[in-house]
Amino acid sequence: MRKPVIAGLGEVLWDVFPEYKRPGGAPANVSFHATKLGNNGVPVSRVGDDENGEELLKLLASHHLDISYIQKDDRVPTGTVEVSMTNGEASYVITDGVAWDRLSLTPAWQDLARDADAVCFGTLAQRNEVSRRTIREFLKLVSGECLKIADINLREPHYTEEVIDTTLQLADLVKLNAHEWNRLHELFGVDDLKEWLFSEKGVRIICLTKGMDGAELITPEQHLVEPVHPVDNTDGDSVGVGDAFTASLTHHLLRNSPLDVCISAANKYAAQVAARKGAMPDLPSSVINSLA
Amino acid sequence: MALKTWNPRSVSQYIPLNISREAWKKGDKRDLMKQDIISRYDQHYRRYPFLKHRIEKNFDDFWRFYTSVYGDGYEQQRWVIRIFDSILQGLQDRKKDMQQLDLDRDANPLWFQSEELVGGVLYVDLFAGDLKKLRDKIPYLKELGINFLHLMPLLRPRDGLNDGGYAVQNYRDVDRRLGTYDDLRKTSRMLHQEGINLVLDFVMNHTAKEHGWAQAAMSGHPRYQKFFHMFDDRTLPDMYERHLIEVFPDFAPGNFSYYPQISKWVWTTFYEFQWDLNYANPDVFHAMFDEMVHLVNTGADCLRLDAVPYLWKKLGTHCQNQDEAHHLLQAYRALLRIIAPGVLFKAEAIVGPEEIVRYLGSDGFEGKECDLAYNATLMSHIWHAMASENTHLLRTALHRLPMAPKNTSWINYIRCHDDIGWGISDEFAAAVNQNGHHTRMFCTDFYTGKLADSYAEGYAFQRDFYSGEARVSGTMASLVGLQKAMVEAEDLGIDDAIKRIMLINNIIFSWKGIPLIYMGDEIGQTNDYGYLSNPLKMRDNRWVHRPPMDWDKVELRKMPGTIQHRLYSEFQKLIEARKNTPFIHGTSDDRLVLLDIDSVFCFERRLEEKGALFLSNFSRDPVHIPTEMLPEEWQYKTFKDLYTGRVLDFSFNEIVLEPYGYYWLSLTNEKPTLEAENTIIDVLVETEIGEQVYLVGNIPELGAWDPEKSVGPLDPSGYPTWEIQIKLPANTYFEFQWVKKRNGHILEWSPEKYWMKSGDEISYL
Repeated sequence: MRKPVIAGLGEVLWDVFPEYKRPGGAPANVSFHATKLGNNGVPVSRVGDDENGEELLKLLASHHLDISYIQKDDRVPTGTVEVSMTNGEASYVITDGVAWDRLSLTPAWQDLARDADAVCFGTLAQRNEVSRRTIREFLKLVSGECLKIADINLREPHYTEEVIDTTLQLADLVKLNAHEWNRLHELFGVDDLKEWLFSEKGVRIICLTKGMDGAELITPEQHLVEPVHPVDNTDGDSVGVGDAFTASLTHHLLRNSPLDVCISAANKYAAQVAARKGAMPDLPSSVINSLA
Repeated sequence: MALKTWNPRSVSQYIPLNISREAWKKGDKRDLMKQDIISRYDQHYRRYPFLKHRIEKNFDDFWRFYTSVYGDGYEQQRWVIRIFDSILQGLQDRKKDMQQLDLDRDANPLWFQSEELVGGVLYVDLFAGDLKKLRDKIPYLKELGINFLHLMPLLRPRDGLNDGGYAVQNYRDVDRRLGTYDDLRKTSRMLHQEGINLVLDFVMNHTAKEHGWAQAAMSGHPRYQKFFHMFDDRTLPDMYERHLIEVFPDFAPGNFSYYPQISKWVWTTFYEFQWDLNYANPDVFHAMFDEMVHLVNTGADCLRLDAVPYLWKKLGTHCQNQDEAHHLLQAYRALLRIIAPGVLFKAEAIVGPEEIVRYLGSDGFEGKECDLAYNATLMSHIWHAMASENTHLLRTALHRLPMAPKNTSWINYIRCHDDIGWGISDEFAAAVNQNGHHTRMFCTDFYTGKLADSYAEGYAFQRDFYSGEARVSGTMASLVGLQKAMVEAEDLGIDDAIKRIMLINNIIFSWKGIPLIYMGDEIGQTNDYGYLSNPLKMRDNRWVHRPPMDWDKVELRKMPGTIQHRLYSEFQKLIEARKNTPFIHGTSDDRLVLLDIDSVFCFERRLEEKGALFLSNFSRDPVHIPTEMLPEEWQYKTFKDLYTGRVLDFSFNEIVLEPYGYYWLSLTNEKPTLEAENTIIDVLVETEIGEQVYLVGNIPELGAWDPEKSVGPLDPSGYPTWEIQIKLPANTYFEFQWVKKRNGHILEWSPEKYWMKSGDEISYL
């Protein structure tokens, strides 16, 4: 049987902490989890022709991901995020002018776009003109059957109103958190944001994540609320939990699971990831089997 | 991408109730619920002015049958409200033109009884390739006159084996090989523009085990485990199994399958990959109603409900045709009348004749269950009548088959995608002094070509180990002998086969109901043996009668002289004749006319004082029916044949039917057209020198039996054949004898009387 193809389109990068670094970027995380759940998760991005890039590719390949859709750039470096801790608050500096700002639509990518069953993309990767154009062209190529998932990420100064607006227009499913929800309200100044997204922007599902308060799935007909799934997360961190959630949700939507199953499975899967360290943890097969 | 999954507007969502427990306990629950529902949708009546009236009209029926299955507990209100929310959602999604059609049909609920309706059934992939290409074939369907089109299952089936599409993985998606959901909607729109009604399958008894619900059940979600019949051990399955029947003993023995992932036994009546839905759960009732509404909103005019006898399971029974199954259908029917009254239900229930009729509604609820049902009794008995050239069993079966209620109708068919099951009951066989088993064996043997005089090329399907009886596979053309005659290049055999095809089709086109052509039969598609090289299909010989449409052969329909042309034009004539015969309207008064001639099947249909008499001769020999044998009001000798549009004169008071011939007679004041037809009469007479042969017959042109006025002498140039060419009034059946004369003196009369029709060249004894 053909495995569903879930493409994670956008940035791959290193999160550089003062003492160590680890791979990051929603597309990589989503495709990692999608693959774990039995799909063909494909990271679609670009790295520099440098040590960081080489290391990143090796790491993704070691997780059995298909790295053939990751381009190499010989002019700019691999993307990084400098994370510094001041008073327990993490602050991020996302390096400008890196490889994933220069995504280019190659014939291989065009074929992938036509094949994809789902594409996850975000707003961050659209900060640069080149990548923005590529991502939009890519999404125009996908078949009518393809599920387009947008992760709204409002990180100053990497977004503009235009980018957000077009992203909403392109997406079938919009994932955002409570803070971003409020920010959208302010940004577009509409009374009924929900109604606006459904009727004006053609969104099919809104997925609202609320951290410890669980998640909500909103369609024009209904509103499903799922409380957070209790797990022991003393050893875990919250890195990549949202991406795990997206991957699991996508996985279940592609299998046409009933919506209540989709959200509860995604929530449980995210909880399992939250209970472990890092964005790409090793999950026991029992967990995978029960939630796939 | 459109959302293709079921939205469980549901259990997690709290629905406030307006009626107090106290009031519920004391009051008339039906009325309370009805008023509550009506007031809940107050704000929508402006947009849907018909909604309130439809709820008022249909709620009582819904409530009666729904509560007889699920009870009328206080909590039941929440399910009813969810169901009506689904109706509203469905109405919002329903296109304007469909709503208009609903209104029209609501005002004219007997629209489907019209003689104008002619059905066709096809596999989209075999017929055209995919939905897009099917749209290009619409002109062909129109040319033939099809306006009630059943597309075989096209919703997204599971991968691999899928029981011909009856294992649905997603009701909101279309088989990828055929196109997308939008393709389906577009096709439906185009069909409607051309005046063709669309019939789609709704597989309501089971889902594929890959369906979202089954998958959720498999991963342990308790809510979805309750969607299916699941058992922890063999105790209950064993108890059920004691009374159950196996549907596919060869392929899928047993009715339960074990899944080690969840350590449960799951009820799988048909194949292991088809999980029976548990309708005892109101959640399933509601979920399937949602799916039904979704499907109806593609523009389907009729849903073919698959395997309805199996819907309800009851311990200690064979779990078919249970009362609750009927109640479920009746509840669904009432609900669908609210959202889409223009949509019909067609029951696929291949069960005994008394049981079939119950699916059309019984006990005062006629027409409130299914509107149409497959007439399997007619189908199998027609085949028997043709093999045996004896119509007694056919007559008995149809006589005993309870009449379909006036507001319902039959789907009459000769062939379909399935095998032919010999639904000939022991009781009916006994009524005509036959043994049921022997009769069924005869049919099996005849149509599998085992009998010496058989012309059929069919194959035994699912032979019963103990009785040796089997169902039969094969296309119509192959079963009536066309294939054999073509292989042997037998012109007479081909003629006979074509006559047989038209004979049996004339019955389904004139009997009460909608005739259904299995597309391809109209050009005589023969058996297809390609399946034998496909490992997925080779064990199932039903593929022999599922050939891909041969469009090169279809083109031959325009070339006179080809078999395709002959058949196709006969079918066009048949369809035309049906559409022009008002007595075929479903509300006519029908009765069987029992004639004392084995091979003649005769029935009468009356509408407002007028009527038509339908006569068919199942014998390979001609038959005479003395007019005095007919009911009193039919004792004339001049009739109008509605089939050919000609006035026929049976000048010697006997109706004569040619081999495999048929008439649709009606009384007429018209005289036979006077225009003369050149008729060549040949007789074979041995004579001696000086003797001459004359003809004398019952009509004035032939001397009205007066030997003095005989015509002749005949031309002996083809001796011993004597021939004469004379002008006779058209469309007249006449009798004649030859007389041998010498010098004007009669020497000898022919020992037999002959008859023939003016203009023809064949005379019969």
